[in-house]
Amino acid sequence: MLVLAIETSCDETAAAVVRDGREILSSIVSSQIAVHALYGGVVPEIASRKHLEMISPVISQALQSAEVSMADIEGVAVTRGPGLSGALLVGFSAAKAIAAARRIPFVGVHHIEGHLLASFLEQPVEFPFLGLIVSGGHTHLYHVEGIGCYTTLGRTIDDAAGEAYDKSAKIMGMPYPGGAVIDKLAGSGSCAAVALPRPLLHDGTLRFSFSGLKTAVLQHVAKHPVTNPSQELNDLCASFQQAVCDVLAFKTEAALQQTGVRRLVVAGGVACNSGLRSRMAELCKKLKVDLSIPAPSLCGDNAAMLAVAGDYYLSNGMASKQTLDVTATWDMDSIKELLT
Amino acid sequence: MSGLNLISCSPQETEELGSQLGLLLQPGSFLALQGELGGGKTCFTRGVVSSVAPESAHMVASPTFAIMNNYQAAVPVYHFDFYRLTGDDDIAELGFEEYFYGKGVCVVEWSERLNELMPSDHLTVKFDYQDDLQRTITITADGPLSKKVIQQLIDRRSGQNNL
Repeated sequence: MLVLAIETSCDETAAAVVRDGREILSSIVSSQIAVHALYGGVVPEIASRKHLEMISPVISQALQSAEVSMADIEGVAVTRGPGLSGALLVGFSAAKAIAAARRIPFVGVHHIEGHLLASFLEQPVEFPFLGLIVSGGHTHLYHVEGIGCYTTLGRTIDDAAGEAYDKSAKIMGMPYPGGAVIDKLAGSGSCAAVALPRPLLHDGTLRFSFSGLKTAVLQHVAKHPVTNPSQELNDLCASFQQAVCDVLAFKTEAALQQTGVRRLVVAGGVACNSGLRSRMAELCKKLKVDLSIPAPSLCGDNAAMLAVAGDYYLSNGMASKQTLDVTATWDMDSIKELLT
Repeated sequence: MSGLNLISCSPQETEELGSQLGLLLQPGSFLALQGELGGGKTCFTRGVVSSVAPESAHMVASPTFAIMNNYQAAVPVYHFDFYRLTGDDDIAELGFEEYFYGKGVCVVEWSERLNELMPSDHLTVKFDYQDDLQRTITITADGPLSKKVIQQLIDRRSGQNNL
C-alpha cells in the first residue's frame, strides 16, 4: 500500500510517502529549529501557526520528492495524539480531508507508536522486544508484543531525558538545542570530573527521574561557573552525559532481565546521542541482546515512522472513521480500543 | 493578602505540602507556581495530583515539552508549564483559557509568564532556594475562593512551624 503519512503533534510539520510500511519514498521534516533558536527554546505558539503555514507545502514536497501524485496514494496515516490539540488538529484535519476527497482510508496513529516502530523502516524487528523511547517529552520503557500491543514498564516521574539535556545546556550557557552540543563537548571531557547523582538508580522500579540531575548541574554551575569553551565545560558535559547514560542503561538492563526479552529498540530524539548509542551497543553486547537504533533522521520527529503501524492497520481493515477526533492524552497500553 | 511561609528540607516534604494543599482545593482552583529551575515545582504538583486526582498520580511528569498534561479524574488536574512560552499571546493562541475557567484544578509552572491572563482568583506558590536541599515555600492567595483555601491550610497546620 502506498501511504501518505502526516505528523504535526509538536514542534515539527512533517509528511512522508512510504510503500508497504517499509520503503521510504520521501520524508520531509520542516525543521523549525532556526526560528526557535532565537528564543532559547521551542516556542509552540510559533509552531502552532507554523504547522498551518507549512502543512500544504510539506505534503506537496513529500509527494513531489516521492515522484507520485495524490491520485497514487492509497491510504493516509496521521498522528492523532498525544500532543497539543491545536497542533494535532492541523495534520489530522488535512489527513481527513485528503481521505474524504480521494475516497481512501485514513488511520490516526499514536506518536510514540511511530517512534517505537521507526526501526522497521530499516530492518524489521522480531516481536517481542523492549522499547526505550528517549526524547524531549518522553523517557519510557515499553514491552512490545506486536503492532498495537504495548505495555508501559516504566516512565519518568519528572523531567524527560531530553528535557534534562536542554535545561542543563541552558544552565551551562549553551544555545538550543542542548543535547547535540553536550554530546559533542562530552567527547573531549572526563566523565569522572564532576560527581553528579543517578536519581532512582536503586529504587527497584523501572521509573526514571532526571529533575534532580538538572538541579545538581545548576548547583554545580552556581559554585563553579563555567566558561565556553573550556575544559571544565567539557568535563561537566561528559559527567552529565555519563550520569544520564548510566541511569538509562541500568534501567534498560533491569527491564530486559525482568521481561526476558532478547531484543532492544532505542528511539526518539535523544537516540541520536552518540554517547547513548555506544552505551546501548555495549550493554547489548554484554547481554547478547539484539539492538536496533534507527538512523538519526528517523530518531527525531518525522512522518515516515507513522507509516509502519499505519500501513499495518489500514491493510488489516482498521481504518479510522471521519468522526474521530484528535486526543491530547492517549494511553499506549489501550491503543487498539481507541483506534477507530 | 493572607499568606503562609514554610521551609521544606527535602523533595518528600515539598510533595507532602502539595498533597496537603491538594486536599483543600475545589474545582476551578488555580495554582500559580513560581521559582527557578530545580525549585520543586513538578515535585509539589505530584503531591497536589495525589490528592485531587489520585488515580492519575502515576502519570505526573514535567510538561515542559508537551506544555500541558491532563490528569483525568472526577476533578481533573490540568498541569501546565510555560517555560517554553514567552507571554500572554502564546498562551491565548494555544486556547488555554478554557481550562483556566473549567471544572478542573489548574497547576501552572512558570506562571511568571502569565500577565493579563492570570485568573483574578488564584493561589501563588513561590519556591526559593535556601541551600542545595532546603527551599522556602511561600503561599499567598488572591480572591475569595483561594483565601478560603489558604485559611483552611493555616488552620490545619496551626502549631506546626515546619513541614
